[in-house]
Amino acid sequence: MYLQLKRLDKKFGHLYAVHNFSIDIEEGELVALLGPSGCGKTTTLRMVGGFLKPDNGHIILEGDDITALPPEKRPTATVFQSYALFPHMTVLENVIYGLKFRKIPREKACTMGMEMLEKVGLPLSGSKTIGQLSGGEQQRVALARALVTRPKVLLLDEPLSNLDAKLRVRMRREICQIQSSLGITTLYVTHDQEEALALSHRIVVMEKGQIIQIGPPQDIYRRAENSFVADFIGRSNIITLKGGEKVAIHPEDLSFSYEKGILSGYISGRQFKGAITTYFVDVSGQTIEVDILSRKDRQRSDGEKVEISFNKGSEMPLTRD
Amino acid sequence: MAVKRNSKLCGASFDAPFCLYLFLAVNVFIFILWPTLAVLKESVFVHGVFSLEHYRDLFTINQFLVRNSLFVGLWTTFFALFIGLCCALYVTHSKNKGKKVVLAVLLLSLISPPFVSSLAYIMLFGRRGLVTWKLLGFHWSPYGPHGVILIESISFATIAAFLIIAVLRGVDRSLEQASLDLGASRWHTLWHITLPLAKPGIITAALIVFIRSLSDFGTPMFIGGNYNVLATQAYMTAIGSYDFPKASAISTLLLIPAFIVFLLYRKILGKVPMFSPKTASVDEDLLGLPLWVNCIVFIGTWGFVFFELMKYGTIFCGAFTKTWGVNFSFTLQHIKILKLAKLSSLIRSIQYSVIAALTAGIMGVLLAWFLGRKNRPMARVIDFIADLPFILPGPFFGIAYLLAFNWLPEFFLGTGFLVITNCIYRQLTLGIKSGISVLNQINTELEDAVKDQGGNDIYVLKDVILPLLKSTFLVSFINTFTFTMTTIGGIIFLITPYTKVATVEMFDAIQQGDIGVGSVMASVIIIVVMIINAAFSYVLLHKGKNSSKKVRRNHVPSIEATR
Repeated sequence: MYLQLKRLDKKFGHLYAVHNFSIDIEEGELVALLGPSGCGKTTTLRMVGGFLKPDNGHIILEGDDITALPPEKRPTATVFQSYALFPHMTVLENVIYGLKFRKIPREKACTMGMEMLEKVGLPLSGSKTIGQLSGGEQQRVALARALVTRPKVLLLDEPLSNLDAKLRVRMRREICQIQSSLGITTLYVTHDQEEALALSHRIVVMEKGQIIQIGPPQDIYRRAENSFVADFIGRSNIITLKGGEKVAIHPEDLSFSYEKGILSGYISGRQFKGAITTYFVDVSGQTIEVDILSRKDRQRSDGEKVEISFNKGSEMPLTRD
Repeated sequence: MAVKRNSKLCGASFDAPFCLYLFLAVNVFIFILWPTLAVLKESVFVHGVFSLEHYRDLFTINQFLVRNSLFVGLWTTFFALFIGLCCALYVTHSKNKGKKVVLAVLLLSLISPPFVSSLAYIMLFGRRGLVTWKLLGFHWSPYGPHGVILIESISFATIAAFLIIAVLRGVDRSLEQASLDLGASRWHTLWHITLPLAKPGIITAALIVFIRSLSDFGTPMFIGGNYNVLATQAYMTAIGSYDFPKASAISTLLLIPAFIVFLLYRKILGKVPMFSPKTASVDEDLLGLPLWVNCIVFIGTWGFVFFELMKYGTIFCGAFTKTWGVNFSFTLQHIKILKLAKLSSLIRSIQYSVIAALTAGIMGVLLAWFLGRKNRPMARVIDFIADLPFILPGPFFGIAYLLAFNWLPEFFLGTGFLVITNCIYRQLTLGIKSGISVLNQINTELEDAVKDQGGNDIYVLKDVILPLLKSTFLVSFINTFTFTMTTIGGIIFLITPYTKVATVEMFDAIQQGDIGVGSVMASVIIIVVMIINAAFSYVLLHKGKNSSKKVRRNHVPSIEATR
């Protein structure tokens, strides 16, 4: 195992911010820590970066225990949520800042910095000041600064949260490409499930300081083990089947049928969302969401009685609720 | 393993920054807390025996002193607050023209040495005053409580104005707009929205003016006639009759209101964004004031400006007038006297000021970092103690130094060591406060980034804290420089014949009735301070690219608190 987090605990006051957190990460893997705000994902990241000392547990990198190392001695590099670019230095000075601690002569550092800026898509902007950059450009500089020191682990703390929706999608792809071309082991903190699904090799879903589920994106989405994960990763309907089994079903796995379905109810609302249309169906007091491709929507009206069915196998048994 | 843990312990807690912090903390204790305690102790021991005799005297035989002080203090607070509020509303809320002139005059009077007003008052309205005697030709006595109240009101109106301007600028303009939008009149908006929001600042201004008035001994001394107050008595018992226990008791009495103010000040100012006003846009369309309020504000403001301009005009003329009141012919004789005899005092003033300003600037930045960022032991205690001298009456802090350090070898007194440290520690808190407020606006991730990249605490200081707190250093430098150039209340107790500074020369000249030399001294001090302030403001406004706007806002409210 390349990076191991073993039974990490961190308390703030009486509350566990992170409790009993363990994961083994392969070299070159991109792991997303996903969860709502306050779930302990950033705390975990900061423990790996060395900014917080865990109360218990160990952080092992390539077989060495680095738990006690201060951040400046750790072979990790962070892209901070605020980017934390030094406002009084130029872009290039920012990028090569860490190289002086690695005894790399300035000449060579500048060349390395320029190369890295090119790699993140910002060639020829080394002499600009930070204030002249847009949000997306600052993000790239922060990434370049983290990568130029060739860290063993790259830590990204909600790196895209300050960007607008369109740019976020583009940067997502670029981060993916850079990460896989460098093959750098990466921990990625986000509260955006779509982002986590799109970029990562594995997702760690967290709630209240604890790991709820770990798995590849498809598994997390398709085989949520409890209602929290099912609900947090996309939208889910929690349905109790005949026989008392509780399952979660994504709205897009449901459809309206002519014959008797698994559930029946009355339309209580309709939302057009572009490619899909969401119907809200009142099933004996519970609201069930059903996604229909807009092209195939028959524009049902409120109060209409509908039968709902789903394909066998698309339901997720909530075994850990 | 044992060895390893040991070395880690040393490495983590006894590194260079920690030693530096320890050094600064010990200094704060020695130069602030200890002298303060020394005065308290001195005041309750008579010939080595515990006794409250001096305090009893103050409430029996010398009760009139307390009464006089309160009388002058309360009226001064009232008038100063009125003028200050007029100026503040004029600058922030009115649509009138000439705001820059008003601000410039306010700034000018802020950086003037004390009792310039008294000097001008004597020259204009004194027994042989230009206006009363020469122009109007009548005899009246300007000396007495009315003169003291008038002069103190005008002198302290400036600080009140700046404090109120600071809060008024911090008031969210959209709240006022909402009030008008909902149908309230301008008057109603001003009275029920604007002023209540500015209340903390107005209260602070009132309290600060009140204790300034209590601790001012120059004005009552020059124009009080035989009207004595606590501060003049403290000065005369200490300097005149060397009765330190009694002087200590008097200044401790001055300390009580000051201490109440201090506690309120920490409480209120903790909540008011004094040093970092919100970024409410000032350039927006102003709403203006109701007509009749605007009339009062207009008259109050321009009356003040007129008086101030007349004051400076008089002083500058006085510098070139043969014998004011008798012979109004032009002369360079006073300037010659300055060159011959008083130049060394002026140079000494500048030297002391530069040393004090540099030290206070560096200490302010470092302590801001230690207290604002890192969880250092005793940080709250140090912060509290460092705040103290800012509010302590000048004479109290002066006597405190005399009592605490009178055992020091002649060398320290002869080199002005005590004068300089006295000024540094009185101004230290401003640097710390402004530094902390700048740090609060900087994301802590910036410091984490240095560590993440491999730099230790030293690099955090060198690459992030120092460059970003450059403005703090400059503000602290100007404040302390201006203060040291113009102060007298605290340092007059510490001056020896070898360490006479410009303000003391001026004080002596006025006391001896030498108006010409007094005017020259005053003019020269004003010019020097003005040049330095202008130069540093220029650097602050034009070099601090990214944060110049922020700094400008910080700069104005922080100087005003100087005296």
